[in-house]
Amino acid sequence: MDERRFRLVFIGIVLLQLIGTALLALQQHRQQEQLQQQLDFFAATLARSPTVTASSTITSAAYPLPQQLRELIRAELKQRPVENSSTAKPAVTAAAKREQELQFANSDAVLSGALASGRWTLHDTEALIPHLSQLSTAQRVQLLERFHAAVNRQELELEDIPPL
Amino acid sequence: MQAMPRIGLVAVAGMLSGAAIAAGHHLTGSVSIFESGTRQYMQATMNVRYNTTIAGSPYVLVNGYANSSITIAGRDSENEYFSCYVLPTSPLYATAVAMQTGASDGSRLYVYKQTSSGECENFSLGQYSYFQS
Repeated sequence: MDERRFRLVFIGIVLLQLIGTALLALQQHRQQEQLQQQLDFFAATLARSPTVTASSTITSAAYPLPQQLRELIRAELKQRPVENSSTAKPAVTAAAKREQELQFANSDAVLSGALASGRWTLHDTEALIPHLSQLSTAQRVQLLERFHAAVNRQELELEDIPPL
Repeated sequence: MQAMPRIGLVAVAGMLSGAAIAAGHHLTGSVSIFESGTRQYMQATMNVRYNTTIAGSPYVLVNGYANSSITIAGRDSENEYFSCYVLPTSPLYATAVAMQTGASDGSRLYVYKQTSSGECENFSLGQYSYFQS
């Protein structure tokens, strides 16, 4: 009788261990599934965002993620191109660019007229002023170089200085 | 009564000697433009306008529009021109603005640039006591 009880207790203990092991494996499987879902979610979020800024950070306080997931996200961020927000330039509209090119052409025409006459006068300065508001720095430098090169080649006498 | 003309003579002589001491030693203003190696140079004194004996019509200028380039230019006695510019983005711009506002009679300007470029490479403005003004 005692031997039969002992066997039953032994079998019960073994069954409990098996059940415990199965539950543990199930829990680990669920955790892995949750981990994969979180990873998929962040991968999809990164894919939707056009760029990642240099200031982008993920802190453990804001996103209490497992260490493994944080490392995966860091690795993904490293592989993506980083755009520094300080170097981002505002887009120049097509209309503004056309206006800029027109003003540069007009400014260059004023300079050409002065070069043809061999003299930069107050009248040339006054003619140039209305065309300068939209010029880019590169365009101003281009005009400055043309003007000063002509002066130093002794091709242009100065009665005034252009407002470039 | 005879002492009066003598006193007057001494007074006039004293005034003349005082004027000579006040004039002192001075150099007349000038503009010099020349080329050496790959550079063009200009040396000029702002008081060139007072030099009535100099040939031609030399002059020197430092001109700048607000937030735009500064131009340093001049013409020498042979009617040869020098000009160069300093952009607002240049590290020399602040000095050029100070030079524009600080140039006066007694100032001596020295500037140079590369022959292939219109941009001023470097410049100095000194204030001197012995230039004529």
